[in-house]
Order: sequence, then structure tokens, then C-alpha cells
Amino acid sequence: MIGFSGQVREVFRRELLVAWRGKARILGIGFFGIAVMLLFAVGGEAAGARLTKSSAAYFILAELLASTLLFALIFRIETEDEALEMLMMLPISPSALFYGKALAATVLLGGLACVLAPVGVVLFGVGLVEPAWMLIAVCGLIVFGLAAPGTLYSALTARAPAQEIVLPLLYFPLLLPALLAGSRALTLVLTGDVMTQVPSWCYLLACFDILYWVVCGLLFGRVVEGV
Amino acid sequence: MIGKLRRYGVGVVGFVGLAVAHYFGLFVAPGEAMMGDVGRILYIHPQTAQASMICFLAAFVCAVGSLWTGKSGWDDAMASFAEVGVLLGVLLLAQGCLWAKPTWGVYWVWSPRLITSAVMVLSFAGVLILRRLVEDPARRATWSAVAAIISAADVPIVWFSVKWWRDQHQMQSDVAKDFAQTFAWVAHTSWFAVMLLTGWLVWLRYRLARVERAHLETAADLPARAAPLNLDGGGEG
Amino acid sequence: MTGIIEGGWGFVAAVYLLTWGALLGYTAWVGRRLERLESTTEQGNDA
Repeated sequence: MIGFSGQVREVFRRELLVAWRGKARILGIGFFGIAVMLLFAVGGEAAGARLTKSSAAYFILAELLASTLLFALIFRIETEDEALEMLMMLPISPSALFYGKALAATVLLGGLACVLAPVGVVLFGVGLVEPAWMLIAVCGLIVFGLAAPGTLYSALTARAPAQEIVLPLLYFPLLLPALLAGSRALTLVLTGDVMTQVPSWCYLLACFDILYWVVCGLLFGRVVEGV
Repeated sequence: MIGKLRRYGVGVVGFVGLAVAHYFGLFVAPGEAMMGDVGRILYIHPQTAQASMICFLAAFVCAVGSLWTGKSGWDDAMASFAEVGVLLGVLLLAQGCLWAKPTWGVYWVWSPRLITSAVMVLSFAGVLILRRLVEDPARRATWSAVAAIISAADVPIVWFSVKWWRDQHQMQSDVAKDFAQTFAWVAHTSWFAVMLLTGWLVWLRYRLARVERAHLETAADLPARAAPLNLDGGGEG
Repeated sequence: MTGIIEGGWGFVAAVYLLTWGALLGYTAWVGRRLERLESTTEQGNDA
């Protein structure tokens, strides 16, 4: 029997393969994210400094809203044809299943961020003042923070009625720290970090990420027992 | 009659105690030194805040107990604490908004307390809605316990992140800390009454949850006990 | 902030009315449901 990391790797590969086979759905989520950015650009200030200042928040909100569609999908497709029951019968630790799926979600959300970023540059007229690696690091931490609770709640609500209501209702309040820290850090990266505040926001984001990846990993087994 | 007294007696004591405290707080005590009449919120708002925090903390403990032991009592206790906590949390936010308007001229300020309270209330409201939507008792217990634990784990992070953000923006401090409580005994009486009422409401809600559960378990047996339908007239029973 | 805040009695009254209304309303709601369920259970036991 393969070890824990091997299990995680296999689940991760399976998830990406499933996502590849269901490209249409993933593409649809991407277009949804772009549509949301457009709505924010239109609904917010039409042009000017205020739009640029809010662009980081709009970007993260678009990512967040699109992620709810992704998470609604991740476990719901497993409920088709009893795929999840068959998966649980394999000698895989539930935590490995969680981490594999959450890592795959991180990659997909990272891909979405790569699509939304240039759209944001075009729509909001932003540039990059701080180095690009800082932008990648901040976006990485944000995406990492969305993936863990999203994957857990995806499993929890997969068979619950009105998943489209319950999933966001449970998921959104949790993300306030990630939204707050992420949008502050991202705004500073885009407009210039004169007082070197980005590291402290990244530190907060990292604490949030670690807490959720650990807690959700521990609780995941109990959630899928009941599915 | 004795049954009703036993059930509602504590609640009556709590409400009477609260009424006495509020009478003195509203009509006898002078206005607060800095805030005038608006300062009379001191006799209800901090108490509501503490009661709601205790309820959410207790809901977290019961959620851990529910997952650990699998016993339905912990699940019903968690639901009771969560429901009363959400009620008090919503009241807290409403009280805060109504206090803030004459004090600051706005209904909402971006303080760690307010944002943390709002996030807690929303999170636990989500847990309660999840409970409504899941019919299977075992799944409902597990899933709502998981959601409650995660919601509770989020609270310190929310607090620190908002405090950090606010410190960097040098926002105005929480005025609640700057009060001088002129009629302290009224505030303390109100505190005891609110705590008593909270405990009693949780107990009452817990009783309801137990009766509902027993009712459902009995109802599950009904098909075996139901009298057969006799359409010819003169049936059984 | 300088000086005493003037007025605000309306807001204070609203706070207290809201709080009392919510607490009494919730008590009544839970109490009534409990009474109804218990009486249904008793009727079932009597039958």
C-alpha cells in the first residue's frame, strides 16, 4: 500500500484528470469569473483612481465567487454514479483524499487567478509597482486559503439539499480574514508598499492558511463518513 | 400548574430582575458622564455581548463533544446554544447600530468587535440553516458539529486580522472602553439577569430539542402501530 | 468627541424595546412549541 504522500499525489492527479475531462465546466467557471469582474468594473466607479484602488478587492471577490461554483462541483460530481462510495472503499486515508482534492482546487483556482489577472489589468487599468514575485506570493496565499475550507464544505454540502445556498452561506463568513489581508496586500503590491506592510499581511494570510489546512484535514474524515 | 412553575419560574425571575435593573437604568440613573442618555445602553449592551460570546463558545464545546461521543444530547445542546447565541448576536449588532448612530453619526463602524460579531452570527446562522436542511439525524449532528467547530476556529483570526487592519489605519478606538459606569450595581444586576435568562432559554430550547427528537423517534415507529384503515365503517378504536 | 451627546432617547428606547421584544418573543415561541409537542406526545400515549 502506498504511503500518505503517494495517496495525496494519486488523488491530486485524479482530480486534475477529472477537471481536464470536464473542461467545459471549468471553462464555464473561468468565464463566470470574467463576467463578475466586468460587473464590478461597471457597477463600481466607471474609471479613475477609485476603481484602481478597489481593483484588488474586486479581483479577490471575483475569484471567491467563481470558487463557490468550483467547490459546488468538486464533490457533487462524485455523488454521480456512486463514485464517492467507491472511492471511500479504496484503502485511502480520508485526510489524503482531502489534501489531494484541496491541492487540485488550489491549482485550478491558481489557473483562474492567472486568467483574471490580465482581465483586471485591462478593465481596472492597474500596473505593478512591487516585484512580480510578490504578486505571485500574495495570490498564492489567497488561493491556498480559499481551497481548504471550500473543499471541506464541498464535501459537507454535496448531498445536502439547496447546496447552492448552504455552501456559500457557510463558506463566505470564514473568508473575511483572507479577503481583508489579501486585498490589503494586493493593493499595496499594485500601488506601492512604502511602509513595508506586505510581509505582515502575508504572515496573517499564512496563519489563516495553516490553521484551515490543518483543521479541515482533521475534520474531513468525519464529514465523508456521513456522505 | 406546578409543572409550569418549575419550567418558567427561573425565566420569570430573570425577566423580573432584568426589568428592575432596566427601570433603574432608564429612569433613575443619571445619564452617563460623556454620553448622556445614550450611555444607558451600558445596562444592556455589554451583557448581551458577553452572553452571546458564552453561547458560541459553549456551542463549540458541545460540537466537540458531539463529534467525540456521538451522543445526541451534545448535538441538541450545541443546537440550543447556537440558536440562543444567534438570537443574542443579532440583538447585539442591532443594539450596536442603534447606539452608534447618535454617538458617531453612523450605524456601522469598522471595529474588530463589530466585524467579529457579524462574522460569528453569520457563521452560526449558516450552521442552523444547515441543520434545517439535513434530515438524517446522524449526518445533521456530524455536519453541523464540523461547521460549528470551523466557525469557532475562525473567530480569533477574524479578530486579529481586523485589529491589525484597524491599527494600521489608526481608526477611532472603541468607545465602550472609555465609559465610566456611574450606576455599577444596575449594570451588574442586569448582567446576572441576562446570564440567568440566557441559561434558562438554552435549557428551554434544549428541552424542546429533546422532546422533538423523542417525538421523531416515536413517529418512526408509527407505521407498525397505526390502526388499519377500515373503509366499511365501524372500524377499530 | 467633546461635550455630552444630546438627545438619543429615541435610540435608547428602541434598543430596550427591541431587546425585550426579542427575548419575550423567543420565550413564547419556544414555550408554545414545547407545550404543543408535549401535549401531542401525551395524547399519543393515552390513545
